[in-house]
Amino acid sequence: MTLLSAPVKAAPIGRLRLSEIPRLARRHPLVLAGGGLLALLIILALAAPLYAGDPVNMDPFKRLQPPSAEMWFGSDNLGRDVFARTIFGARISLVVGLLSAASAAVVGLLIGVVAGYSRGFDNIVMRIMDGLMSIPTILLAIALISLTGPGIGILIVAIAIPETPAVARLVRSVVLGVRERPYVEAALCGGARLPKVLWRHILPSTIPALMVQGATVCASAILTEAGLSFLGVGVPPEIPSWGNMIASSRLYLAIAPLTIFAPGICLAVTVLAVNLLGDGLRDMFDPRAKRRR
Amino acid sequence: MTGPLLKVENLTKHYPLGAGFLKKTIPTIRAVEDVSFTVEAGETLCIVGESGCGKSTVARLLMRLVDPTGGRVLIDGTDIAGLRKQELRAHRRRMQMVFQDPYSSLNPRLTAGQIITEPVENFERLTRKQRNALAADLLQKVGMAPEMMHRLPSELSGGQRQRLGIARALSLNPSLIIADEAVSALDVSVQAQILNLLLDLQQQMGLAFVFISHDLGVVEHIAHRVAVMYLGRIVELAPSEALFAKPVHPYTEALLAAAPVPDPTRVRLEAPVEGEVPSPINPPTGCAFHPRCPLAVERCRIEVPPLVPMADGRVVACHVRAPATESPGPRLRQPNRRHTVPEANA
Repeated sequence: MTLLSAPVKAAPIGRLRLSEIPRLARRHPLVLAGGGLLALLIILALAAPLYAGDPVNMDPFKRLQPPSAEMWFGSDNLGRDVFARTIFGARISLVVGLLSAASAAVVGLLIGVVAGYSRGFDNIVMRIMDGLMSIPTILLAIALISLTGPGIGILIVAIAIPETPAVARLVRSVVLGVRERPYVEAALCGGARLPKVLWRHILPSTIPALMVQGATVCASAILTEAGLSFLGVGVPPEIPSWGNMIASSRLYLAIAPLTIFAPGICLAVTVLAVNLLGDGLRDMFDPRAKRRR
Repeated sequence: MTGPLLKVENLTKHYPLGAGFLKKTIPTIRAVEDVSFTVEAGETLCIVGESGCGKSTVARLLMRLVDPTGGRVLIDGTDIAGLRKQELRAHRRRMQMVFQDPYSSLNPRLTAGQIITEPVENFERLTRKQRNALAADLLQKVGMAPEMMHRLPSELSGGQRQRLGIARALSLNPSLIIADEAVSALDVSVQAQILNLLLDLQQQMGLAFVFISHDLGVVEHIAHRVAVMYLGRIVELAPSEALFAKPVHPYTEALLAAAPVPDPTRVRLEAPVEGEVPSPINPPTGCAFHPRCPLAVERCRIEVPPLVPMADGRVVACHVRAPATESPGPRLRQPNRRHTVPEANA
């Protein structure tokens, strides 16, 4: 098996040199497309104050205006600049998406690695994970936010908790496979302590799967945040977010369609970018999966 | 230091098949059953046998990669089967393992230098300079250029990878190296190079080897003594020349007769032994070999033959060829001329 799979080399993680990036991008256009789009969105969101107007300033005399030189996407029902709100809304979506994915990935990785290695811990913790998995994200978020009041921090926690078990399971399954590899046994024979074996020999193998899963979690976290904000239990209404914008503008769809289309399209593009990146990473780390499709 | 370097006493490993919670009896695989042997410093002991006879399990038990069900493994008089994990770490320095598959036994994400110096770094801190010096030294010992330390395993050939595996095993200056089919994944020409490297290292460093193999040609080339295993038990343990010149146990006889000999004029025996290896889940009673043995007598079915010392320093477990007490009694089946082995060729 090892002999057969030798020519199909997965990109070795952690030894990616800068000079190799153009070659990798040519071979994996999805990574380039998704990563590039996402990078562009992040830059636009970070640089928002430089070119976008004030997203919260209300002007009752300019309600539901069509696009103009002053307000590129027109204004909403309270006379706020839709373009500025859309750009600033990207910050919320990206922060919530990336941080939820990162926290689910880190916690899931820790749980998964230990569960994959220790049988006793495995039985208990994976049952708890099964329990967590059965909690609907939206209900958990509503419950948590009604306890603490709305906020971005609690939103990230609420989204990360139900996503963690999927990551933990995935990591655990990778660890179960890797721990039997002869090089792990060789490390034990060489007198390596368990934490070192886990860190140096087992954990790196989980990174590709973790990155792919992280992208999926990120995409779904962005959608969940928008959904929660739309329902009014996500980001506080005074902060511009795509979900809030769609919720507050839904009555004016016929008069000022951009108030909904601008955040809606941005939401779709962001999720698409993250998903493209995730698919691209999967193909990059597992070339055989790509061929099978 | 008195006594042998490695002394294995009644080593046994049973693998339970599934967790028996409600069922009273759990079926077990009897992988290794009551295995005892010793290895002197600087000596090569080969363990041979067909697939599934427990050879590799013995290797893993010696390294305590698996915990034995029973028995003792004494290295310099310390029983490693009873050690706690922390104490075990220190004793692992005395014996190291070379693995069968040079592809999967090296971490694909580490460089050659990192791989071979890691064992030392488990015990002491090395500066960058010391690490590079150590890596260069170890690579030189196994006949590789020091520049190779920056290569990844995927950039090396099978033979070079196996040299790395040996360098890793040497890094802790062990007295004993356990090689589990260390050359069977390599090309014949590379096999010879690796075997000669092992023999050179043995001479230079006084290493002892436990060499596990199914390739009798390899075994004849390197072994001082040979242990033949069948279904988890040692059936014959003899000095190499004596074993290859005149096998005593009928299984050894069959094994040697089955080995290919590069001589087209030699007449091959048809099927020296009939039938298949029985399952280690439910091994035959008495001598495990009796259902296939041309010499079997009634007693073989009832009683496990003990290892009986013979005049030339070998031990054999056979009621017929090496009776412990009185004569074995009538045979179970007619002796078949096909089963007799011709004069062993010199």
